[in-house]
Amino acid sequence: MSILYVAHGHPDFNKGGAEISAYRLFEAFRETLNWKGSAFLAACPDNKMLKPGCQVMGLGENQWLVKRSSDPLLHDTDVNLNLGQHGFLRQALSDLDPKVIHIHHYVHIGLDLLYALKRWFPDAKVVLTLHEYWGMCPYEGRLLKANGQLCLGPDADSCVSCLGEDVRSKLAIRRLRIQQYFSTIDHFISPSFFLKKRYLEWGIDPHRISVVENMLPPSAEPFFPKDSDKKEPDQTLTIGYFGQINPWKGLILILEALAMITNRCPGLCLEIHGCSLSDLESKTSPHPLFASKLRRLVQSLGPDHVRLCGRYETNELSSRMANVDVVVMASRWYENAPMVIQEALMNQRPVVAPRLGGMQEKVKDGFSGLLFQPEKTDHLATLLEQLYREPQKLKILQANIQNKPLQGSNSFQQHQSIYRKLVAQSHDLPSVLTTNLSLVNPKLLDDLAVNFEPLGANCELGFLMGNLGIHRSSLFRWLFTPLAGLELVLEDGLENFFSDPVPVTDPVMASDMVVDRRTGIFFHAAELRTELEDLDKNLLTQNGSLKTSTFLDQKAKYLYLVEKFRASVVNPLTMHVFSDFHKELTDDSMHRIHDLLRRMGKPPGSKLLFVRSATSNEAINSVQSIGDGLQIATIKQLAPGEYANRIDLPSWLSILGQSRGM
Amino acid sequence: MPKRQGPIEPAHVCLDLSTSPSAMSVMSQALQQLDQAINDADFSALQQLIVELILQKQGHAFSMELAKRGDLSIVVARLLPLLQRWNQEQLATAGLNRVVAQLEQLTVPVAISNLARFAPGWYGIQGCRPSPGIVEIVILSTDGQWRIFSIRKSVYRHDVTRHPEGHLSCNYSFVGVFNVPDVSALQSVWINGSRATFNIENLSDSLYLDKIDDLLHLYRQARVPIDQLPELMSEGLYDLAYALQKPLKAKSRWGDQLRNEESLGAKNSGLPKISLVIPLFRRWHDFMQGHHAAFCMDPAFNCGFVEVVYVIDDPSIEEDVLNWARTYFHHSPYPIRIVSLRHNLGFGMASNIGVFSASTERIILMNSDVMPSQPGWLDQLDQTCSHHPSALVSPLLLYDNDLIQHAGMELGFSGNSSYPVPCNLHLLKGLSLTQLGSHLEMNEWHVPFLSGAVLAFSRELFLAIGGFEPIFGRGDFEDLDLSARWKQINGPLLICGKSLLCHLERQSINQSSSSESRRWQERFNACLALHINPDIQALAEANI
Repeated sequence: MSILYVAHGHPDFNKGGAEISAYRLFEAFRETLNWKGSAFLAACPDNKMLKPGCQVMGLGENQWLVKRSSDPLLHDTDVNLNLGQHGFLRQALSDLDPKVIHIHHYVHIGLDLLYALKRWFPDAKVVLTLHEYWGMCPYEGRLLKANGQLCLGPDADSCVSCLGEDVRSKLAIRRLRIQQYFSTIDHFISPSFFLKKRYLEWGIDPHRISVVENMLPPSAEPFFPKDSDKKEPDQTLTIGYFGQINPWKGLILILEALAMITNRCPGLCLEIHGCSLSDLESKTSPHPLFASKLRRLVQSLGPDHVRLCGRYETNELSSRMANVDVVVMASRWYENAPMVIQEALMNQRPVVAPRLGGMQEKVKDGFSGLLFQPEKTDHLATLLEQLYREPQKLKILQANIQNKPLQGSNSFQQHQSIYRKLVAQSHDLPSVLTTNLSLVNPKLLDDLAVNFEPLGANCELGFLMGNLGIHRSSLFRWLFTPLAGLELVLEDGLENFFSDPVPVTDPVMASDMVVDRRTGIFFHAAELRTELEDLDKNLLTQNGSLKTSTFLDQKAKYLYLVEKFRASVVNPLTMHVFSDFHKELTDDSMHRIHDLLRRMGKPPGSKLLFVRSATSNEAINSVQSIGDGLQIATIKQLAPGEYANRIDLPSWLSILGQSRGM
Repeated sequence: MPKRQGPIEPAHVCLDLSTSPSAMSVMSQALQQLDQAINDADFSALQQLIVELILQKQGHAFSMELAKRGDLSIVVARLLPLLQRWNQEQLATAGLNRVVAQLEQLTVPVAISNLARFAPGWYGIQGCRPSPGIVEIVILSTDGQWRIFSIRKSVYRHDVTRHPEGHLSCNYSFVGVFNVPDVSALQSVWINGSRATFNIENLSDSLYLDKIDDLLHLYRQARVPIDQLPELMSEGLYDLAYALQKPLKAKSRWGDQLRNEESLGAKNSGLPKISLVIPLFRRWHDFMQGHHAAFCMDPAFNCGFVEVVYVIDDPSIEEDVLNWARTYFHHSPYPIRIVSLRHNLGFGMASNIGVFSASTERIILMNSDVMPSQPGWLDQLDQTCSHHPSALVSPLLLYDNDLIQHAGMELGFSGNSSYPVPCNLHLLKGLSLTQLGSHLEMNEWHVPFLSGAVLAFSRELFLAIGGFEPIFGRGDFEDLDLSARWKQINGPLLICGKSLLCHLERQSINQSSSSESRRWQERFNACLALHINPDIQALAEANI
């Protein structure tokens, strides 16, 4: 088995976090027994590097650069894909047989090239790591507007305000292209909950996205930390800025904060790593106004308070970080999973960062660093002065970091788990079988719209409802339980099984779920899960009080859905449907559930339909009535969990129609 | 006998122009006859009268008579061309050479900038002269027939003092259309008595769209204010357009317009039930990318139920489209047919031929710059059509910011009461969906007219009324006309409120020409709609 990694740049030429993260995965997995032969394909940093007439360039064993896309909006490829088996790229990849294609970007690569990869390797599962917001933000992918404000969109008018009216018509097409491409991805990886949440709001299927940290560098041994014990009040504090020099990284804000306190903190010094003199020259900087302002600030603060430390290579980072007490960043956009935070924590350096995007998730305020209000210079100044005046505070933060496992330390295992699950899935999954609803008996659709009520464990029922146009909420659409759990909650009377939620840790399944510790029942509750992660998975404080009100909100939602469910039980027209996706149904369990519902008030003869996959001897799409409304249906195949949207809709309509006698 | 020129019959009018009193009386009577023939532009009679003048050798007396008259412009315009054609020796013998010289001194210079033959017998002329008066054009055909045409309205002052042709003070332009159905070719042209040199540009073999472009170009060259276009329609413009589009209306010849047909994507196990017809013109790449992305995500397209028919109405893009499509549609989950037209025929005709070549009874016709907002739109349209089989149905069209682009149209009129110009008033355009009010709860509702951006209908009913009128060429107002005819003949016009699409609006149509020429096309089509559709005329009259 092998993995083909695809990135928008190669770290030999592009030092961006996403490129580095992709390459670290490639390096790690190509050395792993089961994944040898993995390959890395990246966009060329400059097409002039390619020899005339070439569209692909070899770069060592199983590594290639491809012609860079010149279309930053629609993401067309510039590689000629019309050449069949003898096309440049097809020839390059001819010896590969990847089981996973892990894409780290479509920018610079081109969507059509990625479609071609899927055509050439139809058995490969496709994973896409979302590093920024390019899917929804065609302007630099940062959700940061051209005027420097955070984008609350995305919406067409906001995008036009950044990109100009000329591209308006292309934006709608772009959205469709990205949506279509995303619909073909087998699994998404988000390095932060924040980014995942934005993409869920944008429309990504919550069942197909996991949060997994970027890979740490292979050697995680930190340099010895700078000894803060000797520090006395008003002695010195060296803060370090690491990263690119551009307007959206917030360096100006850091310098302005510094300027507010240097007269009170004479030993305070900022080291800027990643900055060369050309970054301060308006003639050479790509951001002339920014560069000139930066130079004025650096000059006015003087060398006692600002040191330009030049550019650095990734392997120099640890040694450079060893010389600073704290790392500061002030990005003005919703950074997703900044590598500099990961590197700082790995080197046991506390981080001061804005309470924004993924940064507030990676830095635990008061534990591994300090968070300031975005864009608030005075707040940042206050925090820096605190660290300067209270060295003990810095020491505590450093100790906290030392004692806590690094986020991302199990990133390799999490990735491997995702790859394995995807590869293990059947290669002959049902495609999305659909039917035209206008051909379906409208009486059946009307009936189902009001009376269909899912039970139990299969997400397929939720997609079925969506396909039938049933958009009402339902208790068993929100939660997820195996058969045993269903019996338990029906027996317990439903009231108390949402009492002790913890975040689900399985990276594939647990994308937005919490699980009730007592009953083992799962709930879609992304916000609560994120908060629980931040609260170290404990809902209650030591004295038993609630740490978050989100739990109460979710509980109220739960109780509301319970009431709706109860009303459905006593309604004689309701058709309760249980899908035996887990293949755990027995005659006894069917009767037990039937009895439990009858006890809750389900009227005699009211329908309870159990649906399971047909064995080889059973008729497909048939419904058998056992009596008193209890029915068993056999269907060719139920959609597996990861592909719950792949519903065999015609078969479902057939059995539902038979159940209703239509 | 003097040597005669031209097809002049033997004399039927006898003139005695002697100077005796009785002869003077006869002459007076003869001059009355001459005036009558000039006023009637009866060239046959004028020919006879000239013959008699020559026979009687009364040129001198005739000259004296003319000298007594004030305004001779009509004599110059209508008689001089005939005299100039006569044998000069004979004219001199009869003393009529003085008359010729006398009249020639009254002519003014003229230049024909363009003289185009649009179809057998149909000509457009544009030129300039120094005065703003009525323009009288006398033509002599190669087979000796004389014809006269007047341009009374299309005379305009130039914004320059010298015309590019170099004539002094040719500050007034003129433009017009004339029809000489029984004339094979032009031999000579006089404008207000001045013989004009000309080159005929033969456009007979051009495409209808190009002919209309060229026709309107003549009017723009003549600096005709666009607001005067409505009153010029009945001065030959409409008649010419109507004549030119006639060959396109023959359904039996629509198949001849197909150059190529190629099937791609999924092969149908059964026959599709809906054809989605999309004409392509100029901009195609990103539109097709957008369509493909949207269709792939819509379950309705993945079950062999829908066939997408692209109609390439632009030979210049055909090769690129097909090359691209062969790669990118090869694995398409839905069947695609790409038909190429031999020539660019315009949206209406491309649609007609697309519908004609479709194999299904249910058709959805879609502009290339329309993008589905969400899956399910086609099912909804299909359902509405099933419930209302005789209806013409449009979805709700939105802008990319979800504001309403099209929720039906009302007909309005601009221009003055004598010359109203139809205009499409889109209902609730630019407003939010909530302003649909109670309609939001309805599956469909009736509207007065429909935009042609997306229409669902029965193929049979569409073809039965001839589809779109070809006269509308590149597009605009063909949907208004179709709506009016559909409502009159077939059935209701409905908006299907549950079907939502995004219309990027005028993204392909504007690729073809400058904004000024586009404005002319739009106004011309608005005027055509009024002339060709009696229901629209009735509404215009009611509006007055």
